[in-house]
Amino acid sequence: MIGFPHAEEQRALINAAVVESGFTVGEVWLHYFSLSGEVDEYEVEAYLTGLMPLPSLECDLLALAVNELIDDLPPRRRAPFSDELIRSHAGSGDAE
Amino acid sequence: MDPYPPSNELGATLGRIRGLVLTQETAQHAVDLLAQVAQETMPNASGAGVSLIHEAQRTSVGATDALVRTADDLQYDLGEGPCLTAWATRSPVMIEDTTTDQRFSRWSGAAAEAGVRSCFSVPLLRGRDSLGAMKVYSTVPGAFDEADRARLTSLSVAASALLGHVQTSETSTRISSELRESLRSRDLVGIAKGILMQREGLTEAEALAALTARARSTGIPFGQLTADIVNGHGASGRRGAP
Repeated sequence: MIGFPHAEEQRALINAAVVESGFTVGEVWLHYFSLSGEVDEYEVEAYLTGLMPLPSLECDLLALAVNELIDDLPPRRRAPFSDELIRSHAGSGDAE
Repeated sequence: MDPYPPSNELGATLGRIRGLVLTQETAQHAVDLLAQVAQETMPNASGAGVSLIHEAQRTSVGATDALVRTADDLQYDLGEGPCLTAWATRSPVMIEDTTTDQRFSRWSGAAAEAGVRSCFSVPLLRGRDSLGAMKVYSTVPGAFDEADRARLTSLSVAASALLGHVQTSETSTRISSELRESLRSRDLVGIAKGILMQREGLTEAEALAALTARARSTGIPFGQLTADIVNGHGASGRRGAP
């Protein structure tokens, strides 16, 4: 199980996703735990920082947990177009 | 809802695992201290108090004297009052005179009888969360003017920042509801694994791999997918539900 192909690349990319999304290891671990993850928080942290390997199934479960957390983040703010603003102001009834 | 809530001990364990220090003393110390500061800041107050409220239940209370404590207890006994409203509506509540104010008639009557004549309560807000309320009481009506109110409001901002920190690292009710949810979800995954193992002759690891593969290919959140299987709605990939 341990030492499966591209294990290190998967680890680095999971870690990058966690860092970039701003979740703490605690938040990631809690969600991973709720998905039936078997490994405790310290080991997950050690895995993410590259200190120890995890079985491939646990890595995939961790990836799933991270992705679900990311999917639940509020979407980024979108930029409005000029006609959208004209339309929204016409509705609110402010005069020029 | 959940017939088997996890014990406080489990909540504390999870809190520790998550790097948080769970001590009721920390929150109690903070609310006591803040009640003291509120009174010192407000020369017209006969007493001050701070309550942490979670789901309309008071989790911690700090009070400078017995009268404040009595007036505060009355709110939770009666289920109405300025702090509960300040907390729920996220806006300050001013009671100029408890003998004439009609908004919380039962509370006002009881508080007036205990000796409280006026009261000003501000919510403790942190982001989207309403953490509780900070209030000052007086034994005379109309004790708090505009300047007093502004002063307590600005104090409440600092208090919220402090309590928000204590609260997130402390309140075991919140942690234990997170834990309950997490254990329930974990339990459902276990049951769903068992169903797949029995139905499709898989080992535990294969069943988990099959579940994660299904979540990935369908985009259904894992928790929902496993709940569906447990509730008998998740048709098996190969054979369908019996």
